[in-house]
Amino acid sequence: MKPIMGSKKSEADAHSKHEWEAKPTKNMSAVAEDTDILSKFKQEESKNWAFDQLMRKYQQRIYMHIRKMVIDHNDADDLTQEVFVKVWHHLDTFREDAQLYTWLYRIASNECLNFLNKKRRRYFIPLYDVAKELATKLDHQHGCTGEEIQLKLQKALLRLPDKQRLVFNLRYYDELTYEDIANITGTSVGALKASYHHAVKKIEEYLAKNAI
Amino acid sequence: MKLDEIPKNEPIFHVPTNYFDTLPQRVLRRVHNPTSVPQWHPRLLRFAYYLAAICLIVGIGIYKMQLAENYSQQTLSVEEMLIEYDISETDLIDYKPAQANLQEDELLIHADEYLLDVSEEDIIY
Repeated sequence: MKPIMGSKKSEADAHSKHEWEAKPTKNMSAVAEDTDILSKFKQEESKNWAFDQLMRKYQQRIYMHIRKMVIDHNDADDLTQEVFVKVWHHLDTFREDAQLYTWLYRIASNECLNFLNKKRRRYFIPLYDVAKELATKLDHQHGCTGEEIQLKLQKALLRLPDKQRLVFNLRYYDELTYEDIANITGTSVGALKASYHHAVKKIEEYLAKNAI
Repeated sequence: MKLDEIPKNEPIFHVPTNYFDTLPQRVLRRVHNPTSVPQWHPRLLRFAYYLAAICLIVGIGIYKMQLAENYSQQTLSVEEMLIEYDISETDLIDYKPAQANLQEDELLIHADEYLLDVSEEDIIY
């Protein structure tokens, strides 16, 4: 098992100097630029190569974003694959005036929210029960380690509505700007700021009530 | 406790070894060899649910209508019976006091029967 850590970055270099963008992975010598990837993807002979580059560049970040929402590795794996299959089919229609990573985040976020909604509809279980189920997964899965306080923070997050948790994750862990989050979620910046503020308040209340 | 007091470089999730090395190839394989997902199944199931619901509603409707029809038929049959047996309104009016008298006679008979079982000694004055 290999630990994947949530990124820790300063606000200033939030997008351009991402840890996951800068570090080449095992099977590639350098990370291609988005524009290169997009232009190569349009050519039939280099389509597979471009897609491979795109995946190696963004897969960890997208996987982590999904994993934080669904907790379970198998679910996160299914959803990550689904996201990239959709990317393959729709990358031709991607408008290059937008950022590629916000587009990928949007697809991943929609997949997560749909997955959680479907789960709720399928089993006719209310919001709390899904949170409870995910919290149990968090407790029992071998894949999650960390200090007690981190576990408590994750449990506090699971008590938030899905979309608020999504916004919190994008802002707190991924350190995206409110403008980017607005592009991803289709919500206004003002509403996002209020949502994040309420989320922080709820989390701090939960942590105070469940102090170690 | 404030959120700022918690170190941010978490959560740490573990993933299987070499997961990210093999993921692009697995996705490419899926893209080039799409497995046919039986999408028809949930749709068919949903259609079956709708059909069953419609059948149930129509069934209940027919049952209710039949009940109402039977009730009206029963009401008509009484009227028809009166016409058929030539029972006039006066017959019906006479029938009621006759019944009332009969009931009074029956009551008297019953009272006499009761008195037969009671001896004079049993009566405490």
